[in-house]
Amino acid sequence: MILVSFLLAFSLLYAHDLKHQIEKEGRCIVVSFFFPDGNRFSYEEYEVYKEGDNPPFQVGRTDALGRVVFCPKEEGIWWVKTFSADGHGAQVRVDFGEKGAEEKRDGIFERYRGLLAGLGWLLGIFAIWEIYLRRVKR
Amino acid sequence: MHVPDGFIAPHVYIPAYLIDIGLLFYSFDRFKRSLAEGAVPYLASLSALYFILMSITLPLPGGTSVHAFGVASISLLFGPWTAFLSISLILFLQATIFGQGGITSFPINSLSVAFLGSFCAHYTHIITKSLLRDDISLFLSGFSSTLISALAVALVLGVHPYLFKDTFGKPLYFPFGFGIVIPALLLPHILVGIGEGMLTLIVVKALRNKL
Repeated sequence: MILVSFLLAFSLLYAHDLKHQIEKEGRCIVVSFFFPDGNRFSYEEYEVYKEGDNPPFQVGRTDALGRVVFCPKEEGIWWVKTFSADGHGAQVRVDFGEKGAEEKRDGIFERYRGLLAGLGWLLGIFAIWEIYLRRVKR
Repeated sequence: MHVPDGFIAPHVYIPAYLIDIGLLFYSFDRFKRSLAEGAVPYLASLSALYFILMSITLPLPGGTSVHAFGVASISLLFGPWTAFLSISLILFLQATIFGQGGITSFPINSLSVAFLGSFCAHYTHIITKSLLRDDISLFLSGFSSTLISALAVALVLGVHPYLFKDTFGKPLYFPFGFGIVIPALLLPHILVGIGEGMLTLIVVKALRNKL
């Protein structure tokens, strides 16, 4: 239990999934990519597309703070794709309209909730299986 | 090593889904017949532990990050089909709850990490246990299962820029070829493999007489 508690707390600092935050600055969008441990997704390749358009509207690398900044030519749905050579990355949908496009970061509560929900599902599934086995045995 | 959505072409993930679902049904059938009632709490506890362990990453120089899997120890304790089922369940929950690994890329993660990793550990142990000391055999099982999974993911990702391009010759999905993605994935996973080997050794030695 001590080990599990330790890992539970520790995992919140070092989770693996790439997160993002969307902010509007004037007529431009700033998408910041980061890992939950605070590490930035810096200097990685990205592409920005207007939905349905090809080739990309903008390409480049994220800055030192893991940000992609672009100024959409029109309102609508925009996609920001970013990827690193080791298989990390994300595809982010940006709904750019009158009110801009903003999305808040996941808080620590959401990570705890996700972790506990996952543990609950896992243990619940195995508990149902154990009950099933006991009934079959009888 | 969890491949996110958008990196894998439908031409790859749709057949992979069919193969993965078929194998998962088969493994569930084996699991139903083979797993003893008393083993379920151990399997549940280990699965829960590895669900957490897979969420813990070690940041490495160069901006990458790696994590352990626990595949080999479940494979050696409960058999490779049970390990495949259990680790696939963990990967599915991670994809749906955390967005860690995508839904479209789930069968790639499941086949490379859960299926290949489990069977690689199982057969490595069978082959090496008569030739080497038990401790070394267990360590090698964990080590090799990690590297084979990383190599499989690297091969699937690395083939994309050669096969799927737009009319301008630009990759439509994952953009890095074999020359970049194989060292980018394999080199960090040598370190993970060492950790995984030690984890396998400790967990299997602690639990195998209790099952």
